[in-house]
Amino acid sequence: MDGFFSGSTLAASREPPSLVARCGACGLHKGCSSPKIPVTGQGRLGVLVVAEAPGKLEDERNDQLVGDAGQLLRVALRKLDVDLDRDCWKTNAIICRPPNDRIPTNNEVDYCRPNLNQTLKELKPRIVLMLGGAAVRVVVAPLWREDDVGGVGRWVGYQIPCQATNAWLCPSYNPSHLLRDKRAAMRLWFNNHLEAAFDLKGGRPWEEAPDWRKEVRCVMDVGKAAAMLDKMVRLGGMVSFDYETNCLKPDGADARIVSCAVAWGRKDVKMVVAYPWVGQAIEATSRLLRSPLPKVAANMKFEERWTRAKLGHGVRNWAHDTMQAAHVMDNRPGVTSLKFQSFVYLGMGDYDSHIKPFLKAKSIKAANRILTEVAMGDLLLYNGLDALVEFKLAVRQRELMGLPEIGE
Amino acid sequence: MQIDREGFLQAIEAVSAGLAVKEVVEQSNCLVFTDDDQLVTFNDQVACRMASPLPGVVGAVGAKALQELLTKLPEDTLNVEVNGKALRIRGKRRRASFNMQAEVVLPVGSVDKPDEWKDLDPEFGDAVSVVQSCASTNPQANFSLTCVHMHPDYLEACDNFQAIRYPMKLPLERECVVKQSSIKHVPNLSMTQMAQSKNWLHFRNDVGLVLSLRYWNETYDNLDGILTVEGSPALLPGGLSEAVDKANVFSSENADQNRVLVRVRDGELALKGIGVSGWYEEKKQLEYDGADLEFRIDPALLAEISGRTNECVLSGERLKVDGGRFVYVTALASVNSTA
Repeated sequence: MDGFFSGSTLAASREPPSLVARCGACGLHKGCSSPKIPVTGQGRLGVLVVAEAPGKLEDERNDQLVGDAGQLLRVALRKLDVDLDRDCWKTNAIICRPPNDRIPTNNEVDYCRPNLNQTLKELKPRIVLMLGGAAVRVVVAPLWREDDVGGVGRWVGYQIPCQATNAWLCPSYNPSHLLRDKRAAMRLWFNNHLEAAFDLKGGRPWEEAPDWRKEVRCVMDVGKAAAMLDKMVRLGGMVSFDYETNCLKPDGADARIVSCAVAWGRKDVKMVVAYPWVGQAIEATSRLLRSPLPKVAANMKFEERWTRAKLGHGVRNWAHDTMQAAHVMDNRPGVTSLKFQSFVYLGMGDYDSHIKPFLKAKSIKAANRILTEVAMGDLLLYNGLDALVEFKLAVRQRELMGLPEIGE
Repeated sequence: MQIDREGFLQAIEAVSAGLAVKEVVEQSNCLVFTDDDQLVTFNDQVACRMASPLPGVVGAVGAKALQELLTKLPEDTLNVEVNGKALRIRGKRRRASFNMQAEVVLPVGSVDKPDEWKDLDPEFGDAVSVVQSCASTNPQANFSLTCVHMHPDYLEACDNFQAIRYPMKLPLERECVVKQSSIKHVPNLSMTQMAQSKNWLHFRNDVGLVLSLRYWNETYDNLDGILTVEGSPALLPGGLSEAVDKANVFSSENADQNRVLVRVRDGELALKGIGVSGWYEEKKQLEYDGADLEFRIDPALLAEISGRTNECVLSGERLKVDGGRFVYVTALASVNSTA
């Protein structure tokens, strides 16, 4: 029996996180001298340091970051003229000492997360310095893809302008890791990460955290969408564009573009339109893609291939591919996807979890489920957000790479 | 201290909605006696508070064992005392000791305090009882499906296959959603007043029990389109309540999701309850010559509906019943597609 709602609409509804720590389920507090160590430090610079877990000395003194790892951090910060206890607040991903100082499990981190959420809510830090994998997990998992956070190596070195918290999120290694790994390069990276974090002057990443969802115009009237695309061609500037398709490759008989979104502007996005792939909108898209306007995409090979297959011509004047740029900027695995890049450079949180399950297909040529289980409104919004972040990401990547602005 | 055993048990029963089966939150499976002489329970979603039957006692005691033993003791009056880390209960030639945590660590402080109490509609309990039966009780279901939407002008719920709206003025400052697993306790507690604080809805009854339910400001999908059904009028057969009562003998064995199957074909409405120990089916004549169809419904709700009206509207995909105080719509399946 068919239900009333589409799969994507239902998937968008997720239980909000708990506000109370699951200490009863965790149980670590029962084996500590100092259970539930409070946040310490004066935080004069508005910086919250989140390490992994209290150690022996922290447990004895009921204070955070006072052991060997804390001392290593203290010395490193002193070189930057930062006093850990005076200028920062200090806490850990979990606030009770684990037995034998082992690394906290993911469950323990999840049980303890409400404590950190409460700390973030009360202190409203300007910068959150996350030291180690557990620290990254406790902060990042609710903001980005919970099941795809991965190890700390994927995150170190970024200064993330997080929209949800309006704070800079700065991941680095846990100093206790540096006590074991004595390589000079590790120390150098660690110091560089700290320096970059404390170099973030001028307050918070956003005057007011943006809501980019409001900037996407989902247009079901394809005549109206066509008129908007033609206007972009007339006015000049640059565009990023993105297709949503029912399978990965355009060669199969049933392969279809379901929707398209275009973000247009010059130095910043002025208009984003997302529309179903039908009628006049297809013709107008073809005119736009044959125009001299510089084009941006994430993985341009995909858009180029679908354009050739469905419109019979290629895309004129490719200017930037965010995926290729990501490869050039950073060769770590797992960092080049649009979703990861848009989080680390634009602070854009999770916006696709309700769509993602329906984009997966059993094989390269098999159809996914966006035609059957995703509401068109949900798809267009997601499609539009992709185009929007591609545009903004291209601008940011070029800035970081020292490349001229597109169109200059 | 001498206590009335029955009164103590009633107090425990009254606050049992706030107990957790497992101690996920510290002391959430305990009866907590606070220093302001309150008996408190809290499980992160529900908090209960009432005057303590043991004034002067402070600490936390596991609820399950205490409640079970009190039920089994024959004495009307018991002697209760706190001795070190134990709560001791003495009857004639019997005594028991319950481990007691002297320190209260139940994080009940996260429940913000009610500000202004307002009177509830006398039918509020009935409305909640009917509406919550349409929310999903499947823990894997999407969040909004497991909630009741509380709006200043109505309550509503939808489990994706059935939807209900019960118009009623509620003393709410803003709309919100409350989990079905929380609000289901309201109908049994004869609540008369309500207050809304930042994250909690509070209900109070005449004996001074305060039940607090966590709520969220999540957007709830508009049900207007679902509740509007254009189709042919039809009449539900008489005597459905009695048939439901019998089918419920089996369907109620499915504790997680008690539903009876209603199947319409060949001028007959067949009602079937299926459980682990067997099934019951009863057929009624029905004036209907459309396509065969079927749906599943909470038996209590079907009994409630059939007690109020026998008129319904059938479209190809939905059945709508206007029960006077509420509107109910269920999705229909063609019989062949679900065989």
